[in-house]
Amino acid sequence: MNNCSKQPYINRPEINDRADYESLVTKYYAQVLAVCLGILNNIHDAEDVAQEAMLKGYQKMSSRIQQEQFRPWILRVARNLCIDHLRKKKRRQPVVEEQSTPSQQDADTMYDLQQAIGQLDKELRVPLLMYYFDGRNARNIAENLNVSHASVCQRLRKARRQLHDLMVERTEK
Amino acid sequence: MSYDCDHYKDLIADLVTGALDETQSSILDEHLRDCEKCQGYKEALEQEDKLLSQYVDMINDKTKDSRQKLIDKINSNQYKQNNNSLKWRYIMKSPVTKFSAVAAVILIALSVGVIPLLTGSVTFAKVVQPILDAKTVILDMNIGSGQDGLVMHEVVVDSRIRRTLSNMPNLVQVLDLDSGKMLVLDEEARTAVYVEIQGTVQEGTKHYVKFLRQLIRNVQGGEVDDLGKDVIDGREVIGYHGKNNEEEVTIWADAKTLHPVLVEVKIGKGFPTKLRNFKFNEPVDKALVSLDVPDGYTLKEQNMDMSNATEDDFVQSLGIWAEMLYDNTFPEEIGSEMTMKMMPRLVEALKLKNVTEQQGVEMSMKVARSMVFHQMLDVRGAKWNYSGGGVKLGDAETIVFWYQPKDSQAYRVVYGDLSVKDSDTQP
Repeated sequence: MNNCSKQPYINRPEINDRADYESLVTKYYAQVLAVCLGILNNIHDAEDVAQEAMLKGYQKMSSRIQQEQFRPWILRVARNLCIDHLRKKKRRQPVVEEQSTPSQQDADTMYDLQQAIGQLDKELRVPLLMYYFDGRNARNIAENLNVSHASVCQRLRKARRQLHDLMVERTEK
Repeated sequence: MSYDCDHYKDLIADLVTGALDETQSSILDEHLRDCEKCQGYKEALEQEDKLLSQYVDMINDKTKDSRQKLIDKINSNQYKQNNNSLKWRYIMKSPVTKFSAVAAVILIALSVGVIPLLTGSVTFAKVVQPILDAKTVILDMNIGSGQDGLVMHEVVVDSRIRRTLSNMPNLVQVLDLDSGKMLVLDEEARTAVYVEIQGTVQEGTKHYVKFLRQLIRNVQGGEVDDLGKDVIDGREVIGYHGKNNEEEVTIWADAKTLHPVLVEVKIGKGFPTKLRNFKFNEPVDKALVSLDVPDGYTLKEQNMDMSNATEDDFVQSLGIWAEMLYDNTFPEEIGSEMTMKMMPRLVEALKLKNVTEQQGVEMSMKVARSMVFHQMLDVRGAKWNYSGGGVKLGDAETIVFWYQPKDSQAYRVVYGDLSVKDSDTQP
């Protein structure tokens, strides 16, 4: 005789209240910002959208959302908001990125780095920024971007090599 | 083996992002001892690594205030949670594609027994000759008894089949019946998943070849009905109908050219399958039926194994249907056609019920294997009966399903509490 019993499928810790959400903001804000910065390539826009994402997340979140699902979800919210933002911006006016005057900033390595990051392809920029914002954890990035770990490593490698080339190019100018 | 510096630059980039294993690391070290250029490259990347960390620290620092403002806003009651109307919205919106590969797996099980019709090397009456001789076959397969059934579009090249489904237009399945492997591509998410279809599914398809061969022998021996002439889609057709135990096949071919117009296949109590729109020997790009992951796609590592469909899968899947879709009551009917129709709703229910991706994949795979198990009952000549409609999940007294394997004296009986017992008599 073979007896089969029914397994419970739903039994996870949940996010219960505002205090929980606060701790999520503290924990994930940097990652949300990294994604926004990666996509929008402008810190001011990225900050606005990251805030909007977190607030939207709070408003829309059910008390039954499970903690382990929060990160991929909020990053998706942020990504969608970034796309909306880019769409609106494109409609409003041609994209003019805020830039410091090169003559003032040329000597500033950080400026070069920021510009070089901006020149990277979005597919490389997002994982690169997530890597540094998220405690250098490629597995988390893979999970959040819904791609394989190997693919993240490959993109990071490509990003680092391209970034170096761009930095060299800038210093040689 | 020696590499050029470009290869070592890759290793250096991996090193600074922590992706280099020990072996590669020592290979790199060895190279760096002799190569000043690469040594310089490594130092530069390490320097940039520090810069990147500083850059991130700077941004974190800059945004510290805004993070606090955000927390203040949340605490100010200005923003309230909307717990009701949007309770599950994020689940509905987000992982739309996560179960889709699994759903495709489930639908592959529908095709057990159908594929060999196109790939077998049997000889048949003239009307099936083009099917058997063709190097490539393209066709549409209508599944189900209703008008609104699923349509599978198939491109068959030897043992390879490329399949698209009308109800999941972003999914492509490439099957290799020789190796028992399937590649599922999600064109929207640009992801790829490999699925093992060895064992039961392959066995089922082989069995079906035997059935067709037997059927053809029967046909050649005169055990087939000549259905005479008819008209389909304005074309004059001639038809033959063959039956072998539980299996039936009807072929309608153009009366003049003998080109097959409609082939209907039915196995046991299963749903009928109609094959139409045949094209033979059309040139097919090999890449379309390749099992390699196309460029631009990411291979998802998921354990999808269809090779071992068991009674336990079947029984647990009865529980999944009841729990997820029918308010803890067993459905009125089970089987491939029901699964096909209800699959989109089950996928939705899995999302709504807050199951994780992993749980969803596990449950979906159980349902998929369950369907293979159920189909194999017919293919293997077992008797079975389902009587679960309306029975409550957990009812230990009421029988919901029984089956008797071919050549077995005993019956396996499934009760409403999903327990399974042996019985010497037919329930």
